[in-house]
Amino acid sequence: MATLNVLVAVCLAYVALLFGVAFMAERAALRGRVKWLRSPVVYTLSLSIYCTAWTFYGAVGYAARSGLEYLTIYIGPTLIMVGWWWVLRKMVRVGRAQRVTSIADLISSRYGKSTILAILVTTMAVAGTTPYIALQLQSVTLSFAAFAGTTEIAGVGNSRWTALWVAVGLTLFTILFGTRNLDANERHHGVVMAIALEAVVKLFALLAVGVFVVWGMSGGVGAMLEQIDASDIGSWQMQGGRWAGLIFLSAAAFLTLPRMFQVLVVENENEDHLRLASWAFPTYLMLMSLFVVPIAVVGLARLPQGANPDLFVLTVPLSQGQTGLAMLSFLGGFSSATSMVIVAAIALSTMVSNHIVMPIWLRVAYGGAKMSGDVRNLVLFSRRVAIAVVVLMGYIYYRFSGGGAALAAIGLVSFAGVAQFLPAMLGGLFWRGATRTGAIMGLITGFAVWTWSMLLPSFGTGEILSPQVFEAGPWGLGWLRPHALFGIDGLDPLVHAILWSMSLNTLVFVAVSLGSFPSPLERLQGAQFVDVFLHSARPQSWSGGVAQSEDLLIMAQRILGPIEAQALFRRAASKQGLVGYLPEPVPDFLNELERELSGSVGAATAHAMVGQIVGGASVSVKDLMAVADETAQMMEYSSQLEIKSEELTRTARQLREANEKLTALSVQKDAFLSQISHELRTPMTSIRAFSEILRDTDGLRSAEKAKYASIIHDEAVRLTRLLDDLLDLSVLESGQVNMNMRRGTLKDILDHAMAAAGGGKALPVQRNRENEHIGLWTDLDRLAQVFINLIANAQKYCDASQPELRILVKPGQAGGIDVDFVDNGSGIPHDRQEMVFEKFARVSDQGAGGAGLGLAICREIMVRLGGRITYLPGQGGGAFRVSLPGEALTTSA
Amino acid sequence: MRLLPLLGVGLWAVPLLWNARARETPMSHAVLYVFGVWLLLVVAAGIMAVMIGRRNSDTGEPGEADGPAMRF
Amino acid sequence: MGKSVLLIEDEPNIIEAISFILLRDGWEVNTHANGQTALARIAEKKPDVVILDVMLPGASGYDILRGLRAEPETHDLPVLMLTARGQNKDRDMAEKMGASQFMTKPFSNADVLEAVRSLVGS
Repeated sequence: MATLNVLVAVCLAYVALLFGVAFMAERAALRGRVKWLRSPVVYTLSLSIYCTAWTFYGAVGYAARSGLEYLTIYIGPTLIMVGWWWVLRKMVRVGRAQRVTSIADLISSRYGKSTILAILVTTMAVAGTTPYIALQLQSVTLSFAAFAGTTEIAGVGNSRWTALWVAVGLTLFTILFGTRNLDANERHHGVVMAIALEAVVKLFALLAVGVFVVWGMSGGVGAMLEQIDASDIGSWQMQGGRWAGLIFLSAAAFLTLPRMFQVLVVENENEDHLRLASWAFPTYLMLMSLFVVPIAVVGLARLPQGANPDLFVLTVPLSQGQTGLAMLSFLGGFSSATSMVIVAAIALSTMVSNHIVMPIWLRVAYGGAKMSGDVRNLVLFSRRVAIAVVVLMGYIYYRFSGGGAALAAIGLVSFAGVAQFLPAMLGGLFWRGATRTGAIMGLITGFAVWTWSMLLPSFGTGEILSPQVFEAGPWGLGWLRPHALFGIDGLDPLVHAILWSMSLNTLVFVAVSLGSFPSPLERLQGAQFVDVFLHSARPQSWSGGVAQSEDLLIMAQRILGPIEAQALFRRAASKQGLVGYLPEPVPDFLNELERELSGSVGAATAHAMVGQIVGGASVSVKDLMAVADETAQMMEYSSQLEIKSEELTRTARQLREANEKLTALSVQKDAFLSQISHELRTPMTSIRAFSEILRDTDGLRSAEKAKYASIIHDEAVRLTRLLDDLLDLSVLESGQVNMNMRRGTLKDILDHAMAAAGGGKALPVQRNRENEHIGLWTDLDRLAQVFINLIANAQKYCDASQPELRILVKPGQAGGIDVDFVDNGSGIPHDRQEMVFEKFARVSDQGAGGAGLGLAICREIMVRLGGRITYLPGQGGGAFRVSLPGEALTTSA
Repeated sequence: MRLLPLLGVGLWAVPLLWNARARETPMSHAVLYVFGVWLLLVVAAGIMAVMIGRRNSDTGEPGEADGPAMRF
Repeated sequence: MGKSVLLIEDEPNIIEAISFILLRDGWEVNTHANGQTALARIAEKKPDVVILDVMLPGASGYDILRGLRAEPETHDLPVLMLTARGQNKDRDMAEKMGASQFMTKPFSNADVLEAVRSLVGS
């Protein structure tokens, strides 16, 4: 029992180490030290999640039962890796170009961003992976029990708890490091680092056991080989069909397993890493398989009859009293199981949240893409729940399957299930004629055949399918016998199932594709995927009007976060030569936005969200023409034309807008004199009228006299203030003004401004004073004047029933800072946003006392201070951003 | 060199012919053969990887494949 | 009891000044500050003279004047327009619309009084 306690302690220490490594990697990534985190070596090691507990324990058992057949499982991936140039390179390139987040995303994106396909693939992937997770839980439990010294494995009450604790621990780890943030690229530095470490541990453990067996127990290589030939599995006996079929199956599964897709494509940082992996990963696989046969042979010879060969890796060292080695071996198995569950759970949860939860949410909250609120939390939450559910399902499967079946059998069933994605995926990558309908029909066919001939029989004869069904087929239909479809008898059941499911899948896929017509979007995506090396630009498929930019910004802020979204929009706007945050929604920009969004929520969902705002017509006649022109030359030519005509349209629109603005300005200029006249004459009227009253009227009471005199006084003050403002503005505009530069802190200036604007009484103000300890070197009085103006404006114009102003300080461009003033009123309509900074421009018709010079003065001041003031659309209220340049900041606060 | 997978498939298919032989093939021979092919493939893939890397840097194309500019 | 005046103007100080002058001269003075509801108010009060400011919240004084002239009942109602914009085109506009008299702010109290008296006398 002492050993067991040590084992538990070692196990916990190991888990703590994994947490530590993952945590450090996340920290390092935050500090931008991604380079060493993302070396090709780490990439190669992360691929080793292919080697699960099925490899670690199961391969030896497999070898003990069927000789060298286990090697097929590693030869398949080796061939794929060695031939990376053909398939993997294209998959990774497409994955990066289209920001694919999972295999479901890849397939759905290729076939016109189809939601149905995404849901179909996700469901199949979950169904195919659950038994596999159960397998990992079972292996940890079995190995634990082997240590505990109990031979009765299935009956140990403890084993349930072991499995449960392992499941809970894995769920926690995965949620912690797999859903930390909604990374635009779905990359998880901590997780990848931890599984790379586990890859080293499991290889080292298996090699250590192998070395011990060959040199410690059998007396060297020569003696070992003789012993192999003398053993029960001493001669080459191989069914050709199984050998070829299994190599094909493992190669297919290597490409289509959701967890492999995650590490191969999604977590891939750089296409070039494939070069190292192309030979290093096959080496890893070779080393993992090297000692399997010796361990199996020694186990068969030395351990009592009936010992579980699946546990030889553990029980052989134990039988020799090598507790330390056995413990290392246990950690190796533990690593294999945990890394698989973690990555599989991440991959599946991404698929479930992107392809099932988000579409449902979009459907339920129709038009909701524009609603306020943060979608990121919804996505993260759904992922966490999905992880828990996926691992839980694995646990439940484990509990109900009884944990009895040989490990390898479950593994192969799972492999064959996900291999059904292969025709749709490869067809999508290499054949432009492949269509959505074809892919759906092929997948359904393959999956149905797999279920009937492989999954259901795997539960055992008489469990789900009765013996009669195996003998005579369902309802007496002999050609539907699960192990002899269409009357073809005598094949190995596994080869039979692979042959029929894959060939029917492919046949239906090709036939239906040829017979159906792809939608325009499918054609565009097809061209993008198949010819990814020719042109990596995205199809131009959106067209929109200018007013939608603000809605798009609101939506993007909720998914990407405000800072990133605003940066993206500003970048796009300046690329188009515009100032502010609202670029023209030209197709290029919309596609870029969609791609950014799809990194967070998947292609189909991103497409739907942009579509909700920009409008349903996603593909124009122009696009169809572009597709119809098959030759690259024609494509080039037409796209050039397209760009030119678009540029013309845009230039025309910009000219028109400039012209409108000029006209509006000239009207304003004309109105300027008349405005000044009005603003000056109004107070003068009162002054003249009351002074005449005071002069001409006899018998005025003294209270009346005092009142009229004070009116005259107030109006004179108003007049003076107006003249001051006018002078101020004209001085600022002419540039003949000296800024009085001093040191101060942002917090003091804001405090001063709030006090001058009447404190927080008239309008509650939310501030985060922690962020405001920023030292400034600027004209403090002028800056305060800007702030006072903005606060006073919010007091005057915020029309919410419970008005409120938020002042937010954020890092700005080029090392400067942004100070945002956001109220909760109805804001400024889009068509007025450009005019608010002009003189005498009042947004509302109600004259609320001001002459309309405040914002014009603010703008001039900010220009003099080297910064600027802009209206910030899409904040759910009136929002002004004061940007101070980096030069205005001092280090000493 | 890009035909490596085909070479692998061919070489690894050879053991299937052994079934037809009169005498049983000893397991040790099979193990040595299969792992020998494996080693050969790994070395060949390694050489190919190095060559591709060198060619990319020779032609001034970055090994980083970030943009659509990269063509093979 | 003297004749009644309705003053439509939005600056409180100016309202107070004009009301004071007219009240002392024996007029009945009502005031109104909103452009949109001004017509209804005129119909309700049936004043002898209307003093109308051009810049009003809700509607311009010209709109109100046009509304008055369109109705037979108020077609001949004397209207004194006040404006703070001292440009000739404003005066032209007011005359074209049918203002009985037009004054530019600031005005002398005596002029206003005289104008109102003359409008009722005519």
